[in-house]
Amino acid sequence: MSAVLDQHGHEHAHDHHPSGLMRWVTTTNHKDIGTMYLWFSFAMFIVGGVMALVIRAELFQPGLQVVNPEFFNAMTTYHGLIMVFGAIMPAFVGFANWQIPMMIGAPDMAFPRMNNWSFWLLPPAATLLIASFFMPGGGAGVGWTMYAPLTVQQGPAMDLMIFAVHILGMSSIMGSINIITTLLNMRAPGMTLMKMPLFCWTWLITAYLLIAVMPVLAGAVTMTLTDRHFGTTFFNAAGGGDPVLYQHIFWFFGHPEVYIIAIPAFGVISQVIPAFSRKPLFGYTSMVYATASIAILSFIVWAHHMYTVGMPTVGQLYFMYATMLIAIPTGVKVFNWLATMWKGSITFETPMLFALGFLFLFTMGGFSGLVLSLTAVDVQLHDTYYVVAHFHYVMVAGALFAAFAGVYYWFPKWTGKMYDEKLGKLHFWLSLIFFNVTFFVQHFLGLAGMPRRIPDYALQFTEFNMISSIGAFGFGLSQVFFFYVIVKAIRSGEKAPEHPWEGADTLEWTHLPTPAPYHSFETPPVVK
Amino acid sequence: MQQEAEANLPRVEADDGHGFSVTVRRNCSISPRNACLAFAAAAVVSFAIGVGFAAAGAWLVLPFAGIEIAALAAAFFFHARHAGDCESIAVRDGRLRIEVRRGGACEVHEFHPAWARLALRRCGGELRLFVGAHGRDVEVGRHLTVPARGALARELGARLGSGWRGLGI
Amino acid sequence: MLAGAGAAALYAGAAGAALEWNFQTPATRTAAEVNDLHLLMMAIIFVIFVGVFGVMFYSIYAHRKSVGHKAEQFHENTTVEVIWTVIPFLILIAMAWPATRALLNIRDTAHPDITIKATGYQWKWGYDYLQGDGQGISFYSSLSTPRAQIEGAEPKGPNYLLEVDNPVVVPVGKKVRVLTTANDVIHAWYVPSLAVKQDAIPGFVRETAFRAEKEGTFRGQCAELCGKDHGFMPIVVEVVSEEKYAAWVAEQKKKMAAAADDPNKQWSLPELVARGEKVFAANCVACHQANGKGVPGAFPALAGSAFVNGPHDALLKLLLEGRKGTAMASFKQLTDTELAAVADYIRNSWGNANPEPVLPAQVKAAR
Repeated sequence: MSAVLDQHGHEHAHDHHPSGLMRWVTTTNHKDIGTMYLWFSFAMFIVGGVMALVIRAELFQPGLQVVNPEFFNAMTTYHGLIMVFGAIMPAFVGFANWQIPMMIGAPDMAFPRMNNWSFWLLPPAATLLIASFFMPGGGAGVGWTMYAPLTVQQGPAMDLMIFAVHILGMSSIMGSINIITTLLNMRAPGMTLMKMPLFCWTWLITAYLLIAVMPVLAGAVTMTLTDRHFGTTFFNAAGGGDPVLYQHIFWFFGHPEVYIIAIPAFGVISQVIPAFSRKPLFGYTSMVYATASIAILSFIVWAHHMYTVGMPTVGQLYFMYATMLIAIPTGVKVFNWLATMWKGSITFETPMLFALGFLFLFTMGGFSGLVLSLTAVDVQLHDTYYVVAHFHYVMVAGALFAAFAGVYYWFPKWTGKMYDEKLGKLHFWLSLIFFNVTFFVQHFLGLAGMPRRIPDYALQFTEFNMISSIGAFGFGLSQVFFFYVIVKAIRSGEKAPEHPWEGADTLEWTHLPTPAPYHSFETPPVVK
Repeated sequence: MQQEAEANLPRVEADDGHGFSVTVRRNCSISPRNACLAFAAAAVVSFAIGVGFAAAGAWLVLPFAGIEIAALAAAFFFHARHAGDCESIAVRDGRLRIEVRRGGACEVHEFHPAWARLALRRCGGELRLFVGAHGRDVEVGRHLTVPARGALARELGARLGSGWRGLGI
Repeated sequence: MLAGAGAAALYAGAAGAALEWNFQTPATRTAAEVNDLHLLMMAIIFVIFVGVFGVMFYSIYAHRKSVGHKAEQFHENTTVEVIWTVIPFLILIAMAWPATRALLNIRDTAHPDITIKATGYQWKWGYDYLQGDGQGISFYSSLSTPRAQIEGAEPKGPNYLLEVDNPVVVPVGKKVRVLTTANDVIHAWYVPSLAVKQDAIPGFVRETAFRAEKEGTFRGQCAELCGKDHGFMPIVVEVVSEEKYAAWVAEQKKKMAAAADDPNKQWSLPELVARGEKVFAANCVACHQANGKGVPGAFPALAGSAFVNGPHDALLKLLLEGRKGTAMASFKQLTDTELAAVADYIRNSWGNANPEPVLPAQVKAAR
């Protein structure tokens, strides 16, 4: 028993953390790790964004001006991979790290040390990915979907890319295990599952999705590796394999992956809209069920990415009907958000603006999704710019805008400072306008038949490509402006009030001071 | 779920005039049964997917599913080992008996109720509760929130009689 | 969305250019059906758009704190929730009917008048007329836009990147079935105004079909990323009257007979090299470049290459089998004469000199 007594009067041992770089390398604190995830994701966002601008610069006018076709293909490939695995996913894991323990009244994540590892796997993976550019033969130009057998033709860059994907996958798995264990075991007394903030629910569902599909991705890239080097023929017809099998495997991962990105975004929006409408979330229960249904449906629609591979017609019909069904739970979510705003008392601070931007543009992405769900129309639009426009409405205006909403919403809680509301709003309007300039016109390009992933195009596509490129550079600069807004707020922002948002009612706002202390909820609060 | 949450608050059991017992459990927001279900849900889905792809000729998904489920199992097991952590404080047949279970290990301390003293001490900004006699101290109520710890202290104090006066608050 | 479309239409009018912002004019009944289905979908979407965003903007306008609106605290209403689950479901069922019909029509490849096999190569298309009038015709179809236009040295022609040396010619009003396959990686055969897009998968044959309702030239592109020159392998389909088609078939047959190499012909080295230059230009130049220097790091140089100038057995083996794990595909689809000629060309150009010719008979032996 002396062990217990010895602690008397001493400071907690974990209050002494190393300073400087070592603090960040060794930290097991969920807030530190969340911060690192967010900064890492921003850095990757800029890297991926620069690649997007190389693409848009080349497509500014017909002809080859800026880069050669091999480099162009590498750009589309790395832009996709970096944005999906390096920017958007880590951003939401960053939110999860910061928010989940505070929202359920837990002191930290269930496995703090594993949390540290799952972050520190990311920088080596990013390094591998970027290093692959400098391999003989240049970067792999296979698209982020890495379809066989094009992957078999690539140089050593492909192998590095495969290893990078493995490491990123490991990081995601460790993160999901941590999140599942934390959410199930460490909720404060009284915080039943059905009282969890919706953000926590969306992450629980996302973590389950990740657990289900990450081995599929790992398997897919490993089979690509063995086909390349060890004489297997999983995806080679000459040896009894099938290139289309790769696509089935990839999209069995890839479609849930879309929701792995979108569902936490739904979670953020479900916190922000009630807070600024000063009204509880409408239809909490149906929100939970709708999210779960979307997750389950995401496993049975993968082949709608493959309508042109030549499946049997019956298969196409099945995947069409299943895909159309997704509109129902997605619609329920949108209607619930609208009903939350209905008869509320709405104010329009930056987080709410981004949430409204999300709502508007994500629904537009839903509309183009509905168009694409019709197989006959999709056959026309598959692999054209229409698809590019569609998924950027869902990924950028969906996930990215939700991430912006979340950053502005929780910024005062995280830093104790207030961002400049005027600058935040300017960032929103710039992003909104340039986003639409960039991507709305791509619908027209796709309808008119411009294939994606081409470095040069026929003359009738010139004007819209030019508009799109101008928009892209504007959008890129708006994000540099975002960096300025955030850094300015951190360095010289005004001190945040204790309760900056009067409608915010989750534990981190009601039970913790602003900014949140380094250690919070060491003993759990009781939730009524 | 509601019951799980309430189980964390100290409750006096079997107060029949001859003695009583109080059990304090760690805050664990999921019952062992539900934890098993939550694990099984993930494991069954992952394996089903792995087996499905193996049947389609892509057997390399299955080993990854296996590794991952092993990791998830380890995490659940590691956490579950501490899910049963509890302290039970019982006065029976003239003995004060404190059982502390931590991750499968169990410590038993016995005191004479008349000598036992309660003490609330402030350590690192937090109030902690100890029961002790003859220079031996046992911390109790570690899994409780601060208000619940105070409630436990009053409850024990009232029942230990003389011990209450030693509380010093 | 409508505003955007309107603005685009205005812009198109002002610029006076052929600004395309909707499906290309349909040339088949299925393409028209897809067009109608898309229009119907846009109409439904427009109604939902007005409804949903009408509510949203009304709420933004009327339920603001700044106009003193007090928040009500309701957070559930089962009736409303059931209604907004059921209505979308009914809309989807209504949409499923025309969608299913259009799909079944697109997928109908039965009873073709003409069957053409389209084979994707990195980076050109090969066509074989397998059945119907013109059976036996076979040719390659490569981009004919000059390199100088792509690099900006010359002004771009009206069909920039959408023109080929040998277009596919089909008769109007006949059902044409296209069997797609590929030689190396996955390509996709895509002609928008015919409403066909079908992946071409190496080792497998997939099919699609169209019946052109009007004459004209219809242009499309490869639609599946297939490596470096994915953007430079267009598809051109010329739909002509039956008489013109018959004339074209006759002409092709004559050309093929003329082009067929006499197996007993004795080739001299200069003849082979001259022939090989054409083969090289059609098959090899995209990677190994016209100067034979390749692209460092990606595609090896042939000029001065020890392998090229080494024993010809190894070179022929490479040409016939390709090299696994690289972009070097098998070229066994070329004739013995063509392979011998291209081997002689690369062994006697850019400073390479091997006076002993590789002969078609040696290729035949190496197969």
